[in-house]
Amino acid sequence: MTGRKELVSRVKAVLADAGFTEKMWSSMARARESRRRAIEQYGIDVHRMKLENREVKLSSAADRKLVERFAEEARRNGAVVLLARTGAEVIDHVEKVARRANADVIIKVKSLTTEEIDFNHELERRGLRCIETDLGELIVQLAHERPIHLVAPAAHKSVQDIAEIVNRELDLGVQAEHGAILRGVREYLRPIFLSARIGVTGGNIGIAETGTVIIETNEGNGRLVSSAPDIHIVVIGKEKIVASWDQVPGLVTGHAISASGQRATVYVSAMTQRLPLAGRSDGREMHVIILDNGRSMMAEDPWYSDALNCIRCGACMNVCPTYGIVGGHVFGYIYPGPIGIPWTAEVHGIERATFSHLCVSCGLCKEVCPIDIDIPMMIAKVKQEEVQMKGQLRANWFFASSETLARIASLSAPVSNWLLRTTISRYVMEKVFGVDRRRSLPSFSRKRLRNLLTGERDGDGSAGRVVFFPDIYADYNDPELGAAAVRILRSLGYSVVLPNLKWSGMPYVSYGELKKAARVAEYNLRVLRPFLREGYHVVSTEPTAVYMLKGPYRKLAPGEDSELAAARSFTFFEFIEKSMDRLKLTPTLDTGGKVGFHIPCHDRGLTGGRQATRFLEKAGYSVSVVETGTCCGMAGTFGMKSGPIGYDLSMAVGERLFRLFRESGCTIAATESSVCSTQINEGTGIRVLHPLKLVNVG
Amino acid sequence: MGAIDTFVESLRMLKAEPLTLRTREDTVYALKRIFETTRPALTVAAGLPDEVMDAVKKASSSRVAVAEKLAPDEAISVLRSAELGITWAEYGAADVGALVEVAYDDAQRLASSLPINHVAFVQEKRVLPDLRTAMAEAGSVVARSKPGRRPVVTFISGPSRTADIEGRLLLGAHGPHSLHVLVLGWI
Repeated sequence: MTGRKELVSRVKAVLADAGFTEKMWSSMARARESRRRAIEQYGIDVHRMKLENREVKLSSAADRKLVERFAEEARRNGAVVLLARTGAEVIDHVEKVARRANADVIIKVKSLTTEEIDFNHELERRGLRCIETDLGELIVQLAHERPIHLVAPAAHKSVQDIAEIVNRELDLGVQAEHGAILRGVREYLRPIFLSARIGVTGGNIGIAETGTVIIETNEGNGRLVSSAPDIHIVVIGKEKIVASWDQVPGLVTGHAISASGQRATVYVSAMTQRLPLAGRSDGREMHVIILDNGRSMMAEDPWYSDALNCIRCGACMNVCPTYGIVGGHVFGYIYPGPIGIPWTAEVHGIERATFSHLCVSCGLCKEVCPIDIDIPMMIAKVKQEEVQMKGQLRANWFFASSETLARIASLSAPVSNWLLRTTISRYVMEKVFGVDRRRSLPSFSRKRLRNLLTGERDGDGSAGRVVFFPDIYADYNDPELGAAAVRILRSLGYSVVLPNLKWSGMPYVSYGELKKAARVAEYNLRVLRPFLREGYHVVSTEPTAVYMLKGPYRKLAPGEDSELAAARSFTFFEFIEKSMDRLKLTPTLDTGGKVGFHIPCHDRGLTGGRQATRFLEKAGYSVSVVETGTCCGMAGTFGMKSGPIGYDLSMAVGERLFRLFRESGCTIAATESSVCSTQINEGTGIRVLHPLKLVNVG
Repeated sequence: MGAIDTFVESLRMLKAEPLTLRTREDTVYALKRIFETTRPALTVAAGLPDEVMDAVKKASSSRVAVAEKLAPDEAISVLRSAELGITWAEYGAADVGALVEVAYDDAQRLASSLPINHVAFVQEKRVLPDLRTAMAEAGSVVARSKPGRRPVVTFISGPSRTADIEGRLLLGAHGPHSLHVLVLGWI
C-alpha cells in the first residue's frame, strides 16, 4: 500500500465485495464479544490490568542494560545470541546455520517479527523452504498472501476458500468442513515437524533474569517446533524483554484476554536453554536473535516510543471500525491495523503508511489496548508527517476549518442554512471541498449560547463553580442544548461561566494538523488556567470535548495546566450524577417508554454512557444500549467527506449498527454526540435526540 | 471456593477432563477407564514417580514406553506412534486451569504434545491458587538451577485448539485433542 490513489481504489474494491466485508466484520465482532465476555466472566479489572502492564513495559524500556543482561544470561545458558541491527543480519545468520546443518527446510511458528523482515521470502530466495505451522498462517502462506490480522491471519477466508487452497496446494483431498481441514493439515505437517532440522519461533516475552523466552501458542505448534528439530532459533524484538519473572503473568493474561478472551494461551512455554532429546545433547542448539531494525531509534522518539510497548494482541484491530470492513491487506502494510500505522511508519517508512488516512480517530484502540498505548496520537503524528510530505486533502482542510466556517454560517443564518440545503450549493461543496452531498449538515443558529443566556440569573455557587465548554455544536448549531445544560447546573447550585473558549479542535487531530491542534489546546488552556486554579470544574455536553481535555491536550500542550484540566473535566451527566436525585425528571415524548441508546466512541473510556442512561431511566424511559462494540461510522467529520474514504466507508460501518437499531424496535434513539445522531438518523430514519431533549427537568 | 474446586472448574471450562483421586486404587480404576476409551496401542509415559508408574502399568493392557528410557535414535519414532501420553505436572494454577510441566528433556515435552490424548498427573498439594504464584515458583526453579541444567517450563491450559477457520473453536490442533487431569490426593 503506497499511494493515496491506490488506497482509494482498493477501499472502493473492498466495499464492492459484500462477501468479504461481511466475513471480516463478523470475525472482528466475534473477537470483540469473546473479550467482553471473558472480562465479565473472570471479573477482570481492565483499568488495573492496563496500569500494571504499562508500568512493566515502561520500566523495561527505561532500563538501558536490560537487553545486555538478557543476552548475557542466554549465553550462560548455552544459547548462541545475536544482536541483529537489521533484518538482513537475521537472514544471514539463519542461512549460515542452515547451511552448516545441511538443512533445506525450516519450520516456523507464526511471528510478526519475522514477517517484518520478510524472513520467508528472503530465505526462500536463498533456496531454503520455510513452512508455517500455525493453521491460519499456513493458509495465507499457501494462498501467497500476507496475514490479514495479527492473531487471525486467515480471518477473511471461508471454509470453502480454505478447503480449495489446501487441496490445490497440498493435494489433501479434504471436504470443505472445519474438522476435516484441520485433520488433513495435522497429518500433512506431522512428518515435517519431526524431520525438520531447524525450527524458528518468535518470542512473546524475554525475561532478562534467567535469559528465558516465552512462546505462546494455542495449537501446540510452538511446542513441536521448539522440541523436535535439533536447532531452535528464536527471533525476538528487543522491546519484548522484561526484567523478571514476576512481570510475566500480567502480560500473559493481558495478552490472552485481549486477543481471544482466554485467561491464558493454551501453551505458554518458557524456554531457557536447549534440552537434550532422549539424553542426546549433541547437535542440540538454541539461537536467540534479538532484533533492532529501527527499534532503538523509535525508543528515542517522544511520539513513537509508545509503539514499542505493543504485545501484539490484535485487540486494536478487533475494535477498529474501518479495519473491520476493509481488513489488514488494505488497512496495513506488513503490520496491520491501528498499531500497524506507527510501526509501518517507523520500520518501513512513512510512504508505506498512507493507510493512516483510514483511521477515523475514534480512539477505541487506546481504550481497548491492554497496555494503554496512545495509538490515536501516534497515528495523528503519522498523518501529520504524511500530510507534510504529500499535502493536505481538501475535505480534511475543509473540516479542519470547522470553527471558522461555523462562525460564518452562524452570522449569516438563516441564509447559510438555506444554502446548505440547496442542491446546487451542495454540488459545489462536493466538487470543491469534498463534502458529500448525500449527508445532511446541521443547521446553524443565529443566536449563540452566550446570547441565549443573557440576563439569566447565575447559580449561587453553593455547589461549586463551573466553566461550561460548549464546543461547536452547543454553541453554533443548537445553543438551546447548551442553555438547558447550564440552567440545570445553575438550578443545582453551581455558578457557571462561559469564558471565550475556542472549539476543542478534534478535527485537527483527526487530520494530522497537530500544530494547529496544539495552538487551540494552548489557547483553551490559557483561558481555563485562572478558573482551574480557583477550583472550577470544566463541564461539556460534547463527549469529544472532554475526550480532548483528558487525552490529546496533555500531549499537545504538556504541563501543569493540561494535567489540571484533565483532572477537572467532566461530561455533563457524569458531573451531575450525584445530584441527579434532586432533579424532577419527566419524559418529553411518548416513546412507548423505549429509547435506544448509542454510546459515542469518545465517551467509551470516559463514562460509557452510564450516567446518561441513568438520567433517561430516572425520567421513566426504558433504555437499551444498542451497539456493535465499535463506532457508528460517522466519526466526527469522517463520514461527511465524499468518496470511498469518507461517506462510503462510513455507511458500510454504520450499516451494522443500523441493522441493530432497526431490530431493536425503538422509535426514538438517544446519544450525546451531535455527529453520531446524524449518522443514526440518516441510516435508520429513527429520530435521534440528545438525552437532555428527551427529559423535562423540573 | 478452595483452590482444588477452582482448578477443577477452570479445567472444565477449558474442555479438559479433571478428576480428583483420593487413593491408589481409584487412580488405577480411573486410568483403566481412560485406557478403555482411548484404546492406545502404544502409550508413552514421562516424568512419573515410581508409585504412579506402577499404577499406570497396572491399568494398562498394552505397551507403555517410558520417555526417559528411550534411546536417542528410536525416540522420535516411538513418540510419534504413541496414541496416549501420560506425564507429570509439578504444579497446577487454579485460576487459569494451567498445569505446570517442568521438563529436562525434550522427549518429555514431546510426550505431552505429540500423542492425540494426554493424561497429566498433579499432586493436590501442588495446586496453587493462581498463575502469578505458579509463575513465581516456576521462575525460582529456573533461577535456582545451574545454567546448562535449566528446565523448559510449560504452562498447559487444556487440550490444543484453533479458531483459524471462520472463528470456529476446534479442539485438537497440533497437540492433544483430549486432556485428562488427574489430581492426586494420595501422594
